[in-house]
Amino acid sequence: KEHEDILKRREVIDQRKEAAENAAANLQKEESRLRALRDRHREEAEQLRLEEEKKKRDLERQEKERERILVTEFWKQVTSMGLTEAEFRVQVKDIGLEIPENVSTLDSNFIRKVKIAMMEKEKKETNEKLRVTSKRIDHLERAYRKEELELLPQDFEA
Amino acid sequence: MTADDFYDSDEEIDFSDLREQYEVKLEEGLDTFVVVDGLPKVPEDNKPKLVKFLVKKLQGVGKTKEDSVYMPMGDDGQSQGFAFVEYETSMQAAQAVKKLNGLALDKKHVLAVNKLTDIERYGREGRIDEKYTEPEPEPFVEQEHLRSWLADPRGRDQFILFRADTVGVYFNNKKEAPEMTVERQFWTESFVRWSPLGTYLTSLHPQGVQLWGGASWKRMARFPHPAVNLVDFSPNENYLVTWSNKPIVYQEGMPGITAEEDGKTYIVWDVKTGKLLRSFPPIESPQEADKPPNMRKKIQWPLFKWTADDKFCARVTPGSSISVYETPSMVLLDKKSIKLEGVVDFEWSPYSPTDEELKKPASEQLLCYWTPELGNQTARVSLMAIPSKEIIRTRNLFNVSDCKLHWQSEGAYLCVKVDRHSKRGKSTFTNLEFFRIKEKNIPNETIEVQDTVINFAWEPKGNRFVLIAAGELPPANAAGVAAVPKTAVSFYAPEKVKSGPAGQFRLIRTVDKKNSNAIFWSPNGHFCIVATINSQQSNELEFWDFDFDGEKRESEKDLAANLSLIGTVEHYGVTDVEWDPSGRYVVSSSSMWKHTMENGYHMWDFKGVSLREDHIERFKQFAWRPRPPTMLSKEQQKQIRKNLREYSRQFDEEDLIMESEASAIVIEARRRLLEEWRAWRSRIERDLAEEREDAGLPPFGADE
Amino acid sequence: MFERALTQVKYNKDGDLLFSVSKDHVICVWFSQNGERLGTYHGHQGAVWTIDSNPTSSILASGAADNTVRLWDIKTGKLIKTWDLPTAVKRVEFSEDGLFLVATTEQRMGHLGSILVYSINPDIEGEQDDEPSLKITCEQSKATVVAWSYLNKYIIAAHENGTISQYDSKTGEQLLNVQVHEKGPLVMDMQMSPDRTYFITASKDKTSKILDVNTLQVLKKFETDTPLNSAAITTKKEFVILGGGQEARDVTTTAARQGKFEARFYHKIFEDEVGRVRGHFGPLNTIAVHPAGVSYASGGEDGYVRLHHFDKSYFDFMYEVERTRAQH
Repeated sequence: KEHEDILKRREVIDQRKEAAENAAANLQKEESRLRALRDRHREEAEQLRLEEEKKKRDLERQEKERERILVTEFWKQVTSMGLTEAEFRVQVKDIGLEIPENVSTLDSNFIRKVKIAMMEKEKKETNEKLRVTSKRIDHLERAYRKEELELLPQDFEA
Repeated sequence: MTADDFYDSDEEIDFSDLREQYEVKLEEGLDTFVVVDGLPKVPEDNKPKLVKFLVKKLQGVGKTKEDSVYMPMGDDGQSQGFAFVEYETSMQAAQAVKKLNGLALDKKHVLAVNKLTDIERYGREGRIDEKYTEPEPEPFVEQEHLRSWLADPRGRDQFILFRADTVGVYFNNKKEAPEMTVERQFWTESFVRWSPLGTYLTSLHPQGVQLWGGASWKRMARFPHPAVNLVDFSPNENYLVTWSNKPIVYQEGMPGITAEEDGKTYIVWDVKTGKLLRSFPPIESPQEADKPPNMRKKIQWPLFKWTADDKFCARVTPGSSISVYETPSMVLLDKKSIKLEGVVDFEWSPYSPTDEELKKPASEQLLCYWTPELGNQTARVSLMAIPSKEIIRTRNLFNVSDCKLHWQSEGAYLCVKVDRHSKRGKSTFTNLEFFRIKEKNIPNETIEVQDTVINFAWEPKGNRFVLIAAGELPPANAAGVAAVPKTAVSFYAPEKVKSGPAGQFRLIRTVDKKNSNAIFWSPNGHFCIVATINSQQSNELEFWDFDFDGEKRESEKDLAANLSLIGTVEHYGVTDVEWDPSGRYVVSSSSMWKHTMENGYHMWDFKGVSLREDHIERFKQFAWRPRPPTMLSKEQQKQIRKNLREYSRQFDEEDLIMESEASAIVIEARRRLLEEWRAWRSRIERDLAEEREDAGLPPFGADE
Repeated sequence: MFERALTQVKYNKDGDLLFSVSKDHVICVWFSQNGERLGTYHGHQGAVWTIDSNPTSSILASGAADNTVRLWDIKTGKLIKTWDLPTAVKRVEFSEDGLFLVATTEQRMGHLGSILVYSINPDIEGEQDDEPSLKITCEQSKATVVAWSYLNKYIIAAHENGTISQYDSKTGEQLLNVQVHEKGPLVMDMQMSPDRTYFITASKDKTSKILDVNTLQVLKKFETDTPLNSAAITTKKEFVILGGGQEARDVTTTAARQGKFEARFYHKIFEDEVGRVRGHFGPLNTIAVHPAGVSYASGGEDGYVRLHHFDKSYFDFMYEVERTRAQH
């Protein structure tokens, strides 16, 4: 009886043990499943991140390329005005404008603005030069005539 | 009292008075009036006696009476040597002119009788009144200073304006209205012309040419060449050549000319003495003369060409010879013409030998002429020295259609523009043959131009030039209107060299697809206007600076010029362009002689900035008065240039004062106008208010 | 738009309406603010030369080459009266109070030019007299344009021979006659100042003049380089607007520059030209200024009516002397 009890208990214990083991196994199984799932998730996320990064890098590269093209294009336009980069920078400074670090932000409008300002400056300079020339010619002629006035009575007598 | 005195006195007649006096009667018919001149001058007391005596003479041909004689008295209490007489009929008056004109009263007094209407017609101020008396224009004795205009304290230049029937002389006031010095109606029959140094204003009349000048603008001389068409002066104004397309038909009593002049068309005169030196028959062949006028070859003018010192004049007889005459005798050099088979044209060098050079016995004048291809002989351009007649340089030319001879103003260079054709004669192009006269052996250089050069001009006193070439004529457009070929303007300068003579001539720049047809250099060089004149297509004037004070194009670095376009303007209908003598101003004008649209003139400064625009109905002619060369020595000029800064300061100050004075005057005038208007308005408004009140109405505007 | 040359444009007293007539037979009325067409008045059988509206903007008067003067109900467009005359009518104008209408007729086929005055019944439904209350026959030289002075005191007429006369509007007696313009070129227009104390003329002799209505003394003279067809006095600003141009048959090229087809603004007191407005392709035949001075209208030989609203710069423009004066 006792034995039976013992047996029974053992059986119960065994059963419990088995149940516990089962439960543990199940738990382990579940855990490993979950782990696998997590791993997969993580992998996927990593994959995604890598892809994102690549995309970003691509974009950046494209952007860089675009900027490079813009900058070349810009300087091409500048040289088509008959100016070197250095000369252009001097001109821009002369008319009180600034070329920013990132040249690609400048467009043809900027060039047009510079062009117009340069033309205006040139016109102003030309006008100033002509004004000076004009004054010189006028004053020289008047000075000659003024002095000639003194000689006129002589001419009359002659 | 001599006949000459009478002549003087009749000059004093102010016909404007006369016109006024008789204006009313004019409508009734002035045909019955005659003007009797050549009478003695008498005091008031003796006047009745003279009138009585005169009437007796006058009644020989028709009915008149003492009442019908009006003898004006001068300020000196003397009669003035002439009288107006009324006959009963115009027939009688005509008889009086016919019978009594030239009648001697006594030894000293010869009557000159003219119809008043003739005087109306010929005798108005400015018009010639040759019929009057004297047989020969006498030397003038005025003590007037003929260069008085140079004494203008502001040193301004003068110009003439010819509008409608009125010619006036004005001082240039730049932006402001010009200042008139004299204005006369009917001063000329056709046009006026300044003598080359500006001393005389020349007017043309059916009876001949008159010269005017001095501060009083009185007549200085007259040259009776009936139906005169053209005039030309020698460079120093010593001689005058007149031409009429009608050969002179000599009649006895013609003033100033003799039977010698019968059949002649050209006359050479001595300006100072008024003497006729020599007359010449027409040079065109009889066949030419038989053709209707519009079919005849264009008259070559001037026919007589002068050396820069007036010592010689010469003319070409196309195809055979050049005749060189010595002045003042106008006798052929060595008594014979220079035979030059085929000769087409010639030009004297404008170089004037210095006094030093003239002292040397070998001093010679240069002339250049060209002959076309003749048999085996090629075309050729030659330089001949006068009086030795030695040919000092010749160049043979091939396939020549035509040549034009262009001397540089100082005679340093000669450019022969040779229009050539290809062997088959299909295409034409131009070669420019340059001769450097001042350099040893007169070196030659050639510039080939692909197209035909239609215009060429040297820079005055310089060594640069401009030419205009015309391309092929484009086909007529759909409407069948003949198109005008596009032109290309080319600018040339010598290469820059360190020392010695100027370098090779090189192209500075060409501007194509233009309509330009005319080149106008400033008289001092440096600036040049390239224009399109007398054109329906375009009216553009481009102002070029050959020595622009600025950065130079890389491609033109080694040329003695810095060319820059400094101004472009348009002047609708422009027909003429003329620089002032100083090269500071230029006037473009639109003359009714060419068309009647927007006649008038436009004044610019040398860079194309508009100063003044004047639209004038029936505007005909604008001409700057030339100035004689400066009296300042080279040293004096140098001194002035050195001190220019000081002068400049004075002039700036003067200009500032003038400007502020002028604007003060304008403002004052405006202020006065405004005051006047406001005063008038307040009076009117007050009156109106009263009248409205009387009418039982509210004040004006109150009902709104 | 019109197809035929304009003959007269005129604002009503309030300035909200603009009437125009042309060599067409139709009268048009427009909103002056936006240029929208409000309506037309049909009935004339020839070129309509002239129009005017009465001060209350109820009645429109018109004169035409069909030898009639007509009155219209502005609102309904109904014809309310027709006066038949022997010759064409070149100008009509209501008196200040709208109780009289003056009209001038052409000289033609044995008929001397005349100036007629009609009494106007302001009641649209009411009867209008058949006969003029006054008739002045122009024995010397026909009148080209006529106008009323202030308080119906005088009738002013410009004649073919370049003279201007002042008539007593009651008796028709000629009080003054002055040679103002050249003989030959016609005086084409005459417009009164708002208070009718002075007026401006426009002549083919290329000048325009301002005269005192009482003395016929010339107060101002404006010289141009083109024959003038019309002249108007601006309110608010001291300007006058002149219009004209070389006639088509005298113009050898079609360039607008050649014909000078511009409205020219002159300073009324200083007589200087202050500006020009281009736009027409033919001579300007008629100019009218808005009563409040905010806009002007011009009618051209090209068949266009152009309406211009003045901008700020126009109102700001002032001579230095005016400015200093204004400050005092």
